[in-house]
Amino acid sequence: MKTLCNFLAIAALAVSGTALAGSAQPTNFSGDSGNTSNSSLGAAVATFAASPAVAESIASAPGAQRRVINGQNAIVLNFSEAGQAYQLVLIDGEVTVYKV
Amino acid sequence: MNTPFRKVMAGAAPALLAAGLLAPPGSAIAQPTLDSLGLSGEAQRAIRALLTRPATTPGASFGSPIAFGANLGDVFVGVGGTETLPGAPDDYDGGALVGFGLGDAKRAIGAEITVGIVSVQDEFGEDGNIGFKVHSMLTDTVSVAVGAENLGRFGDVEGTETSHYLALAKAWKLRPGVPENPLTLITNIGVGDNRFDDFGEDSKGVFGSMAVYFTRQVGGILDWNGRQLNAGVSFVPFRSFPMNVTVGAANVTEENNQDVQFSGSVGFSFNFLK
Repeated sequence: MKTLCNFLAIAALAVSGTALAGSAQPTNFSGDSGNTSNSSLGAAVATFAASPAVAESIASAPGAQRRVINGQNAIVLNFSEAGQAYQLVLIDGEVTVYKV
Repeated sequence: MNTPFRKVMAGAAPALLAAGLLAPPGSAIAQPTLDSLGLSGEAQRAIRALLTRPATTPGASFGSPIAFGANLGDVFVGVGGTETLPGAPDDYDGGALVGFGLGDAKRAIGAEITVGIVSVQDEFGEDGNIGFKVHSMLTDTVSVAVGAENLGRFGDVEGTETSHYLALAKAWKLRPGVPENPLTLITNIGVGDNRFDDFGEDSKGVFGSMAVYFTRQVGGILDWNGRQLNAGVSFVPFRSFPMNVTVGAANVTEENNQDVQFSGSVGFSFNFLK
């Protein structure tokens, strides 16, 4: 019986090591929600809820473009980082970054 | 993320393309760099942290079930190994499991189902069980779960009882102003029966764990599983690959006059909907 309990603990350890990985980013504790979606042009890297200061900075950036996307006001910024092109979309305080 | 925004963004790319705002792949060479956009330092750091986030997180517990769980599209695989206690047929034993999620804990309720192989001694796959957990995100950082382990038993596990539990977990960003390294603390506490109560006690036992992510890829874990204290280190060795490795010692205080056991596990996870 003691040995079998030990075996069960092994499985529990394995679960513990992966359960959070399975849930991965939905916990929103790493600074972003981690929600991603695919588009025909490229996968969204991730989404995060911008603080008011960050949202204001994005909205007031010189290259920011104001558009209406699916009926909602959006701010769009194109940029590159480490050789990869991205597009940032800010809607209602939420920032989504797409790989282009 | 709120639901209306999710719906909007699901169809945003075609709209952006039509508006000429999304450049086709390969044409972005002339884009301004993040540094040259005129953003505040805070905004640059937030965006850069997003771009450099690891594909997964380190583990958050080492023996206890945690209240966070998998949702629809999440699939994970884990293998673990440990020293055995005196009297076992071999010096080491291992376990493995596969799991997947259903539902959406952020919108309402998620469910996580696991199938475990609890020993690799003798015939592989001879002894195993099923685990089930229902979980819900109360806020962006708080989750509650009820679950059962050791359901659907087969092999030598058939003679053991199912363990039930209730757990509550919260993630805390100790440095919220440093998005590239927020020093996340994850606390988890719960109550359960059987596996979680003291040996020889027919009652409920309390379990709990604390994990600190020193970086987004390395964390330390302390875990009281209701019977013994475990301590470990978990890390994500490759930033862009969704694998975490957890190694540590079980029963570090040698409860019940039993030896410390060195244990470890490796987990892989992905979401086939993203």
